[in-house]
Amino acid sequence: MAGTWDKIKTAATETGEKLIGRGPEVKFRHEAQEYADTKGVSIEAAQKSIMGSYFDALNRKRAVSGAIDYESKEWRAISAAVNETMGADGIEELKKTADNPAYPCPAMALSTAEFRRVYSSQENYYKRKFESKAPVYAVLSDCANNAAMFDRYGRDVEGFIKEACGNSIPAEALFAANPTLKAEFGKMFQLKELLEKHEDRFRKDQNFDKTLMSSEEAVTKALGDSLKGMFDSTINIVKACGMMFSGQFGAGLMRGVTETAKLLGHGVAGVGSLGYHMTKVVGSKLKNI
Amino acid sequence: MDFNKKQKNNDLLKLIKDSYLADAEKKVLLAIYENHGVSAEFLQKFETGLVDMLKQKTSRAIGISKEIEAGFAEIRDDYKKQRDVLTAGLQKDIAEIESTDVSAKTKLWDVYYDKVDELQKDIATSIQKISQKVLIEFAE
Repeated sequence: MAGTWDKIKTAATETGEKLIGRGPEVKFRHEAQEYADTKGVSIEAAQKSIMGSYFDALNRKRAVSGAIDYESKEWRAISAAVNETMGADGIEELKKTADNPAYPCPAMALSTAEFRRVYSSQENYYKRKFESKAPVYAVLSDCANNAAMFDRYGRDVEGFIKEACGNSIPAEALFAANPTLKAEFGKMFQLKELLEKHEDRFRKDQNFDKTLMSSEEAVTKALGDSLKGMFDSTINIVKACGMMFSGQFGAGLMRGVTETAKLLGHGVAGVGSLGYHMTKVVGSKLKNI
Repeated sequence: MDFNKKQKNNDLLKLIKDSYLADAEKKVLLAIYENHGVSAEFLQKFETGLVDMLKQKTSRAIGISKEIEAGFAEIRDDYKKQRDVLTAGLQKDIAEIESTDVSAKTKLWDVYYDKVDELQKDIATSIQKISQKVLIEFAE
């Protein structure tokens, strides 16, 4: 009976976890337990195996898309595995180690061809997401270098985890004993955050550019509306006076209106659309008089 | 309608008052109307005034439209130049740090993006200024 009650409590807790966005953590926990039960290995070994499979999934996805997506579920799964095996501060601890100069990570030296390939992948990633638009060279170049470093450190960390799948040393202890690899893992989190920062910023810049363009359109439209208001007002005057004075008024005014509309329609390229619009308005109003 | 007879036509008075004629012109027209009613002189003056003002405003709108285009082009150009300067500075700074020091690099990008934010705020202010200026200019 107590076992059933425990299961209910666990299910309720995990439902709550899922609701607060910890679904991947719950999934990892279940997958690791199932792996341990099925394969008859320790939970620590199972956790490392599942983490290794998450790296496989990340690599498969990257092989297809050429980049680490902003909303990468595969990367989120790896983060969940860290949260579950190294505690709530696990990621922060990894990043702290990454900043420790005592554990320098290998530098990247990309050949020109490699750089071009990674750069192109980053550019394509943005163009797919942002209506064929991509950031400037400085940003894309940084994204390319970050992606290459992420790839390199990812391979190191993945290999390290997979090698340790056969033993029961917990992942946290494993990385504590190998601070350089812990630093590389931490750098992966830092690099992913920087990549996200660039993407957030590019989205913001795109909005800024659109706002700039729409502001110009709005000001021109406001000007056109004011002018259109004058034309409409003139037409109304002609109509009203025409009724009052039985055709004694308006001929000269209508000539003035059509001349002005022509001036707008043919004389100035800058207000071309306005001129076209005005000519149409005047034309349609004239028919109604 | 008797053109030479002084009469009170409220519709006509409203039409004059609501028109886009300059206030001074409205006053002259109303005075003519007050003294002579709907005379030929009155109608001609009303028509001519409206046509002149329409032509004047249309011509002004064309000029303002060019001003808008040039103003926005200048804003865009200025923004691009200033951002290029910021980007060049950032690249120089990044080149000076260890390539694997992601935290240091991120800090440099944070500073750069903060400066871009400031720049974009300035640009927004310039847009507001030019928008207000040209539209007020047209309304005057």
